[in-house]
Amino acid sequence: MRYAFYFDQSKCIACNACTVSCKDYNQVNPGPVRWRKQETHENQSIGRVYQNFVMSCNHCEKPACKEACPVDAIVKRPDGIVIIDRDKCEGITACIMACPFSAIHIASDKQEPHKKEDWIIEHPAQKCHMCYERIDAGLKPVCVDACPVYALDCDTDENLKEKYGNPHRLNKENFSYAYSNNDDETTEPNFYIKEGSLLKITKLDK
Amino acid sequence: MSTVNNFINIAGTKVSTTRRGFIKGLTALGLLSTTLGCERRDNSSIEISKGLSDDPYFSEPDKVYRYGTTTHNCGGRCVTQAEVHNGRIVRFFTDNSTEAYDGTDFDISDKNSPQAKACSRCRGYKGRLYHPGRLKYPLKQTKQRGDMSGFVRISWNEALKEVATRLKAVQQKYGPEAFHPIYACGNIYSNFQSSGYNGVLSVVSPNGVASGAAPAIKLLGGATSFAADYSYHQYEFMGGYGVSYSGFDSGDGVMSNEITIKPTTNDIASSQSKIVLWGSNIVSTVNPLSNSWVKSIQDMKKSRPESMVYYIGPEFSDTGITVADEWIQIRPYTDTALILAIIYELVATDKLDINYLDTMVYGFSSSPEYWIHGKDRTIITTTPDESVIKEYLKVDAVPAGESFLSYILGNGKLPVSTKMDWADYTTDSSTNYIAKSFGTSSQNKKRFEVCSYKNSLGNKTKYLTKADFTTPKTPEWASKTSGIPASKIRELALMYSEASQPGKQIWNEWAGGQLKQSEGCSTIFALQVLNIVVKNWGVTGAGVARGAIARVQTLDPKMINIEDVKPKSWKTIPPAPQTIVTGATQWNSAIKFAFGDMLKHSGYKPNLPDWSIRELGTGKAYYDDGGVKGLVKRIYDENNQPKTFKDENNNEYYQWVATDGTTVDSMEKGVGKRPVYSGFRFILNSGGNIPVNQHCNALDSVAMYENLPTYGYSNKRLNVANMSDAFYLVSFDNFMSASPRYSDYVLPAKTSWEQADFRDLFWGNTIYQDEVIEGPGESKSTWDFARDLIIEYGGEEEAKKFAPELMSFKEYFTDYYKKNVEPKKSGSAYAGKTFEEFLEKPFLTNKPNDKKGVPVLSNTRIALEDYLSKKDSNQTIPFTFNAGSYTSIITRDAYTLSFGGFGGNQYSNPNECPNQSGRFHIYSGSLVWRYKNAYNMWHAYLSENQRGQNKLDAEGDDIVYPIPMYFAYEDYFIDAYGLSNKKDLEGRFLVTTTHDKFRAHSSQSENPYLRELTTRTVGGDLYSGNDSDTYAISSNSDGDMNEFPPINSLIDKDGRSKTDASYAVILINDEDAKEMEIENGMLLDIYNEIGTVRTTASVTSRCVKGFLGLHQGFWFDPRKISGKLIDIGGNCNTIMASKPSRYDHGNAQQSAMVMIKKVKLSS
Repeated sequence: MRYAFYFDQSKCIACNACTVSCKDYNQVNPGPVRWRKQETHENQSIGRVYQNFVMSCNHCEKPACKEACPVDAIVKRPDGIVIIDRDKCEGITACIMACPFSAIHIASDKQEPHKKEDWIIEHPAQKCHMCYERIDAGLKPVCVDACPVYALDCDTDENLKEKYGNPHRLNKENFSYAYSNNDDETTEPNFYIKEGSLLKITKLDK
Repeated sequence: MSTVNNFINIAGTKVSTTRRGFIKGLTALGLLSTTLGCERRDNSSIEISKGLSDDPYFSEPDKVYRYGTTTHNCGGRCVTQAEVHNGRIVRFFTDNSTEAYDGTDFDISDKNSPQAKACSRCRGYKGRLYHPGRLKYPLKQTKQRGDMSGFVRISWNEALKEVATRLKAVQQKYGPEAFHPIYACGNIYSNFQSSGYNGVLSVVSPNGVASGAAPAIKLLGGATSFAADYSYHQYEFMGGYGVSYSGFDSGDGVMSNEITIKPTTNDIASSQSKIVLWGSNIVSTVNPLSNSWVKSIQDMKKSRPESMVYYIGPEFSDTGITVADEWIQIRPYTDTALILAIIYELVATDKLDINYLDTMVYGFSSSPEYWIHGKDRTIITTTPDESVIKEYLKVDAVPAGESFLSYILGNGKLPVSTKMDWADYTTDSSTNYIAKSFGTSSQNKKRFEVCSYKNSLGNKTKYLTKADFTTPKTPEWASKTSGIPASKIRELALMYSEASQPGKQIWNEWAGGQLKQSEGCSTIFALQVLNIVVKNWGVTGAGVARGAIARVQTLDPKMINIEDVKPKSWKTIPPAPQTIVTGATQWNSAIKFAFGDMLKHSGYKPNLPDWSIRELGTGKAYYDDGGVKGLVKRIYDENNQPKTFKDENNNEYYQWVATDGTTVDSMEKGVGKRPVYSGFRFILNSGGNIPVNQHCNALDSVAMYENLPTYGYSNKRLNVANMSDAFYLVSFDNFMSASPRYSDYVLPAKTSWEQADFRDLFWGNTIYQDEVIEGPGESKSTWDFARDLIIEYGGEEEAKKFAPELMSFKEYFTDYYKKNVEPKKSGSAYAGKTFEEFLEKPFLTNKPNDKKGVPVLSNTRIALEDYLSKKDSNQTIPFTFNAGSYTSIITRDAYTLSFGGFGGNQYSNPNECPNQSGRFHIYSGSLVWRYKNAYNMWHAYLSENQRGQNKLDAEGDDIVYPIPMYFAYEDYFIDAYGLSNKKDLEGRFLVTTTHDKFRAHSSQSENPYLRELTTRTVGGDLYSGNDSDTYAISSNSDGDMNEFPPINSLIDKDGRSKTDASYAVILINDEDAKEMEIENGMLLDIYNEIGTVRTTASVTSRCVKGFLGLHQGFWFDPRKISGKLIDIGGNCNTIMASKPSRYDHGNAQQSAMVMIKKVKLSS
């Protein structure tokens, strides 16, 4: 069993209820560090010209971040959730470089002004942990519960596949923009996506 | 699992299995909670935490959950749930109901899902509640308006006493007219805590009478109310909510079941296949509609793959991205040109049904003067005999060169491809009753001639509109104007030509953005006309409106009714004086009307290229607005109705008071006298940012405030000796945003989570929101503010009429609940429940209804089709569908009653207004008449030719016309910027300023959770800015203000900025950017004759060439840079001209023509 996120691109209205509720719930102060990000990607050479996209950590089967961490601060739970133990982080940033999806962040003093006692460094790495405490309590992650158009889901991958047919698993061919940090295609992200619809554009006559 | 838990450090301890077991128990009870490692930062109450690994999650059992909603004017009102710990909100959740009120389950993701999930605006509310810039104490200006160093802290007692005394002094000398609780939308959807549409301090008058004033305003002596608002001024003027000039009801008015039958989710899913979005952005602006739209349109496409959703607009909205199949790019504000060309094409290709048009439509082609019999609807074209004339209604002629057909044909020639005979009305060739009757007329029987609207200067006119009068409005013509290829226009024409066929109806969703320009009225009119001529009405899913595709659901009949909650004493408060009802946007001109002469001498320099200082003066209204001109002191009778008199022609006027104290109750008495110019002298700004930020031309407003007379200040230049002669702006608000900065008094207000209230959710179910947390400092609830002000104004006994026993609303409602709800055995959903139990879920979840939508034909349409089918057997009798609603198109009274403030009691001579014909009107004489005569019942003090409104343009021709013309947008800018012709506009970009989802107008512009989504640092991308503790904090001190008043303290006095300063994002087309070598994140100054704003570029293909998108609501924050005021806050209204929209004198303010300058910052 492993948990995965599901995202229906054809429903997303780019409202950012998910990204803002994530910050609010997880007490991530306003600022550049965000665990979940919404972007609208543009590519005029394809039929899906505008693609709304929200993504956090994809809790990969083979997390490159975990492999990269020399101090074992990143752990994958048996249910697939990948978590950073911030007490162990030494700020090496190898995880940040390893993650193809730019999911891991380090905050600035302004966004994270107070160091916690047990931390080794001022700003240990941080990222989405799938609201594991909610999952343990039988709830969905807060972003999933936030979505006004029910475009997000989180469940075991078997359940997601059964519920949503055969969605794409995040891959470089269909979603190249997701690979914003590097081209590592071996991580097996636990993120399933239904693609948005095709758009025709009648451009202004010059 | 346990190994994983071992390293999750919660508050320094390891989580044990037992502990987790306890936690699971709690969450099962829905008590999921936390306490946080929250700390207060120095001088700041914004929450700082250490991240989740630090969060002693589940560890504190004593937290509560409280439901609520919002009152800012985002267009929604969803459900949020606050997690409260020790009196502090630490998290927000949203609606997770899974059962309807009757206990039945529902599918939460269905198109009718009754969940009301909140969007980012409410999820980020902590950034607003605990913002370090929240106003905490009453402040008083002591130097000069706008000088932040002049604010000193005073006590509430002082503040209330001074405000009440000043208000009374002004009202005494200038009448209640001079008091204006200005339109405000920061705290609007409330029944007991706001000044909005139905709040306790409101004066909005949907029915056009000031008795609609809320109880507190009545107890504060009454005030001038306003009609419409900043969103739908033009729509309301055109009768959108009632009977429109065209007779094409948009589904909200008296004809709601006859003309436009708005499709629901069920209809869209089951039977619709064509949707045209005219720039719609509704899933962003009205979040509660987002799921119903997205899901039902998906269902539509799934069951009918041939379905099409078109999006026509210059900026591809989020709504477009999610639901549209095709984006037809168009230049901004050229929709009417497109519509004209579609109709031209329909004529050219013989796609119109003349028989239908003759039967049902007035003004498509010309017609003679005629009379309709009131009962049998027979018509005659000669004046009826004196003995029976009262049985008839006269309908004016449509001169041949003025018909809609003449205008679209222009030069009077039918396209060669046209086979149909449009030549004239004859008795023998037509079988149509009306055409035959017109054929009997002795007048000109031609249906069209060369377009004859007057253009005095011919080729030399500076206005493009008039130069195009005689141009055929062909698809090629419209293509040049709108940018849409002619072939696409023809394709759309074909689609519309089939709209009357079964199953091919087209749902047209217009957007509010269509209205924020000079010509919104004619755009609305044109959209109605398009649907009229192709008979796209009278069936479910046909027609045009905004806000269709709503969920189908039922409300719990046993919910608490807000009307029952209102104190009984409110009904005993006598009505306020019934003042004139001005347009919501005319307050600025009304201030100048009152203080013009003083402004002229106090150093005010108008920032109005079209209105020089020479024209300014007391008693002069900008753009000759009739409502403003009506603001002189009145006399009221015992029922508080303004007294009237009649002139020798039996026209009725309101009496007025002259400066010598005389009451003028006849024309003769007024000769040689001057009225007491009331205008607006005391403005109460409760929860709003209209006075500076949200009204066009912020620089002009600011210059005006800085030069208006003051009382009791140390500033000698502006001081007046008499308290009643000064101007007062009093702001009651949460933040020191742009408007409070220029106020005389700034009073701290609570927000929705800090004051108890009973509200309507978007879908009609009510919600009680408790006082969940305390407000900062000495902030007050609106209820308490109103009560305490009434105590100072009229004494405690008066205040008790408003607040029984002077209770707070929470005390009052708790008492009400315990007496009226809890003891009930049945009849209420909360019968027998304690107040605590009620608070656990103080709203009731609606019940969805998934019935299959079957298109319904309206009775009028059925009757019409039946009538038209008799074509072959000759229509010997008129079409008479008299079943109530159809006849209501006919009368003028319908207008007077339903046109809100624009209609009621405004005309001295209403009988002269042209009648409606009982058919749809594509030509509306009453529209022109009403524009010209607007408010003339209030104008007795003026000479006859000055009554009503300005009628002629700079070249001596008409300003308004009876048909929906394409008014070239350039014409507005030529006037508003004081230019000589179109050449002066060459090379400019057209800016529009739509709403986005990260502010509600200017509310939440301060919220860091949302700012990071709409501002960027120079060269930065999304989330690059972070001014969470540096933005909007200057009001935080106890009144010890700095000289320099930055809202954005990361940007210095001279415009130099720190590297982490962020600026408002502006959208620019990628091809334009390439040509101009503009890159993403580049700093740009956007400027025109009105002002300059500083922004960061967002390069995108989501807007068309020549277009810039600067979303509205950023706070005005000017800096003097190299001698020039530049708004580094990026408020769009800094570049918007003051000139009002054409027909309704509303706000034309979301469009500007500008130039771009790249900025290089010196560090």
